[in-house]
Amino acid sequence: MSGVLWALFRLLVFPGFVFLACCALAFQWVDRRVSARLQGRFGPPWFQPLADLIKLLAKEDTLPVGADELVCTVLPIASLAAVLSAATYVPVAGQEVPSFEGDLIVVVFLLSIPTLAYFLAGWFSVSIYSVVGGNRSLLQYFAYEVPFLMALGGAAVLNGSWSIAQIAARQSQTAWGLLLQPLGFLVAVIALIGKLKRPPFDIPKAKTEISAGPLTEFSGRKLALWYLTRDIEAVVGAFLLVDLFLGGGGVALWSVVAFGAKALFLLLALSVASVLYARLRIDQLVNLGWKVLAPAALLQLLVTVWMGGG
Amino acid sequence: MKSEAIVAALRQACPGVNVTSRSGLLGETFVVLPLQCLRHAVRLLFEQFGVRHLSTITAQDVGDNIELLYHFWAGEGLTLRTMLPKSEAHIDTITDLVTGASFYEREAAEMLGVVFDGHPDPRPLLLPEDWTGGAPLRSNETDPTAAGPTHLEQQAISEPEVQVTPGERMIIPIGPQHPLLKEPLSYLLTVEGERVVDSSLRIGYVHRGIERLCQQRNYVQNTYLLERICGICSHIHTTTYCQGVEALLGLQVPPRAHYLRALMCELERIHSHLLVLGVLAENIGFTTIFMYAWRDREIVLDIMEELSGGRVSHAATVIGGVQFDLDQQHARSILTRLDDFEKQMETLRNVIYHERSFQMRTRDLGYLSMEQVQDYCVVGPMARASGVDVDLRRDAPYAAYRDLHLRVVTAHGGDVWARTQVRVEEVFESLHLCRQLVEQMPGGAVTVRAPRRVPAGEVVSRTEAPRGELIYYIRSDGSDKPARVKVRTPTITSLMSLFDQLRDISIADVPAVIGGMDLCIACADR
Amino acid sequence: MNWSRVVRWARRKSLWVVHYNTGGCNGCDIEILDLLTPRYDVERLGILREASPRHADVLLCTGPVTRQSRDRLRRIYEQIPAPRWVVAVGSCSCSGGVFYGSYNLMGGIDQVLPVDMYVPGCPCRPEAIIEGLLGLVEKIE
Repeated sequence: MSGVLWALFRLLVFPGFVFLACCALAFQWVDRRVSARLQGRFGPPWFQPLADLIKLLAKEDTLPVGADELVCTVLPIASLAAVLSAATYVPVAGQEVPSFEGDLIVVVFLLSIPTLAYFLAGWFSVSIYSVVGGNRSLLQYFAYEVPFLMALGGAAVLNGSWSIAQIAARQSQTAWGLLLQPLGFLVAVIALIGKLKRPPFDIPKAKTEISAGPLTEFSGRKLALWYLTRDIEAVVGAFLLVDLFLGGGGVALWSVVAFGAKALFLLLALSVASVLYARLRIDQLVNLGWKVLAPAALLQLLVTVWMGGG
Repeated sequence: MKSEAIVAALRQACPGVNVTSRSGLLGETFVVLPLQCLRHAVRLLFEQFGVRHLSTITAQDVGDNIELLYHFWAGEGLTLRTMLPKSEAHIDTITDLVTGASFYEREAAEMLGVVFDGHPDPRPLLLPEDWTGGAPLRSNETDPTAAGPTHLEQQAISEPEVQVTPGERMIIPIGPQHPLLKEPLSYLLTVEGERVVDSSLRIGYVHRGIERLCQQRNYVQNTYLLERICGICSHIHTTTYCQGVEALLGLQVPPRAHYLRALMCELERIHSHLLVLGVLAENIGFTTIFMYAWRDREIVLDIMEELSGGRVSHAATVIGGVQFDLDQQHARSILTRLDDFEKQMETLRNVIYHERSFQMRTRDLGYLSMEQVQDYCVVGPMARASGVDVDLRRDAPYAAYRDLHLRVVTAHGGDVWARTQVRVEEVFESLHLCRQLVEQMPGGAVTVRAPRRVPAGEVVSRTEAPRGELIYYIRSDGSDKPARVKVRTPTITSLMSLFDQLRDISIADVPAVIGGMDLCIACADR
Repeated sequence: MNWSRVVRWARRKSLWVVHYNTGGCNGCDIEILDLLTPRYDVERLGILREASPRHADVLLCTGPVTRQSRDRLRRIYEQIPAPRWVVAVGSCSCSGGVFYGSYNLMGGIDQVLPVDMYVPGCPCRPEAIIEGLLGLVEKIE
């Protein structure tokens, strides 16, 4: 019985839902504060993301006439569920996870579900802006997903395993993936920005072009779930990259702190990248993905194989 | 003088009819032609003299007739005028000769009920299509305030939500409410996938009927009304208006007032260009540049506020001069702050000129050739970015510009990037002018007393607003209220060139094109 | 923990606005945009400018209501999910302002929508708009 309770605790509290939600809100605050400071502004106070979340939960839930109510309710829930499921296989600071050989592939697949849900949200909420945004998110998916897979695959090949926990553990014996596969790391980070639809790749929700993209017609609780998913996805993505390229973490106190610092470093990099550039056009992003990122990841993969990884 | 040669040629071309000309105030030449000669005259201007720039078409009610004035710019002001009987107000269109006459004719049609035969798109421009209030600028007719509400928006709103099939054309409405737009107007983009294949425009959401309101208020009240045509270029509106009224009154404004007016004009130009730079950056997703540009703009707004009391609306110009003054200490403080501002601006320029993602989103976009620009009679930085070397501060100097050394900035790219470059360089040029103005400012009074009643007459007043040529036609009938005030703002010329710029581009490029055009719809709609 | 008190706190601290110009001269609009810029930075007060009315809490209106704008204004208001508030920014939205009596105007915003806060000024200073928004925050139940 206590095993079940313990499992529930791990699933719902730490390192499960509550922990991830808190990390997500903290990340949103760091992101907004850092972007604001870089733009010469002050930025919101620490409780702002929490206030936003509660306010959205208490808001009226509306949808336009003609939008499919059932689908639009299921999609944000499915999206959140997929991200949380992916999180169960990503070790946080060396915590035990139900890992198995190949869970990296499963995690990447699960992390693609939010993109599909996003597209469907655009399709089923029937407004023109949503549909265009949804189309763009699919196009964007094909631009970044292949380089992302190849970069992560490179990390797997280097460390001789397709299990995230194993890859993280292996790096404490050899060296960080960052040092052995700098190109792969860079490609993974850039592709992650595309996956999270953050600036400069926030094309599907380009505010000045298509209003709010696929989420234009959502409000209230559904919107709260979408935003929470977005932030948890960012946190899980960061944890994943820390495990694959920055040596993961351990249960000892200092390595927990180190894990947190590495994740924070990655998230700060995402924040800084979001203010440095203009938003790209979708065709420019597709060009970038296929002509720069994919060849770079492939090159890294070949180098790794040639150097006798594994 | 060019106008004399033109008048002589017109007389030759229309034998047997009476062609009279007289020179008017502020260097304008008025030529009266009979109705049937007008098209011929316009063609002659174009073919023989290369005069292509039509500033605007003023239509006014003069008792039993409607008078049309075609204001051209031929290196100097030239206005062709003709009368139409009210009962049969028809005239041939000139849009086949001057493409840029299209919007002016539409406006004259709806405001005064003139029918332009052969116009390719005779829809109303500013009034809703189901308007029942008659022609608002015709006097003694139906009271336009009694017109019923329009139902067009209801129709637009109640249309069923779009059902899309891939590969088919969709119509994307941008506006009237859209985060891209600061002012309401409606673009309808027909797209295939991500490519825009066609576009149409509806303006008039900001139409406040200012020209009619001007006739109901006296000259002094109109100064404050006309300032609020636009919040961004408010000072140049009042300057142009007051300049015209002072010409009608025969007032000699003190030289110090001219310098102060020009100083405020240049500060306004700087703030306006920084505003559009920020808005363009925000449109292409580069929020950081938006923040930096608007933060630096605050320095200029502070200076304007210290001079006049208002950040955005200044109430600075009055008929007879200006309402503010500056002393030595204040002048020194302004110069110091302009130096600080220049440093900030240089940093901003470096970022913009060297940032690759900015250029990727603005180069080769919204291209207008010099030919197209002259066809649509586009003015301002839009025209100068396509190589047209016209700037009324140099070509028709007003206020203190006769005494200043001015460099007109042009570029040849014709795209959004070239327009950005022109605006950035114009900011530096304006800083230079501000320094000259402050340092060379003559002493003396800043205003003279102006009588309330303006003697009968008419005047065409032109200035260079931040967005281009601003033209006012004012006619007085001897009372304290104007008989007609016609305003043509530069944005309307950019709007006419919009469709060419939006053809065959990606949806993602639409905000960049719109940002590059620097539209001020409040100015266009009045 | 009293949930309604928590919700009230959240609503006061997180106010998302959608901005619509119903026909104004742009002066108030550029001062509203100015609120987002470094000197005023309303994000530190929790105020964000949202793209879609469905994401917003407050409708910030400027300008006198022209005939063409009236129905669109109503529609935008209806799209904002409850609880929602309307702030009329500038003298024009309060009463028609300097354009009062024009043939194409329907008057101030309150001729079309229920207004919760009037912020006069022609144009309003950004400080006045912030004061109006904070005053609205005080009114939130």
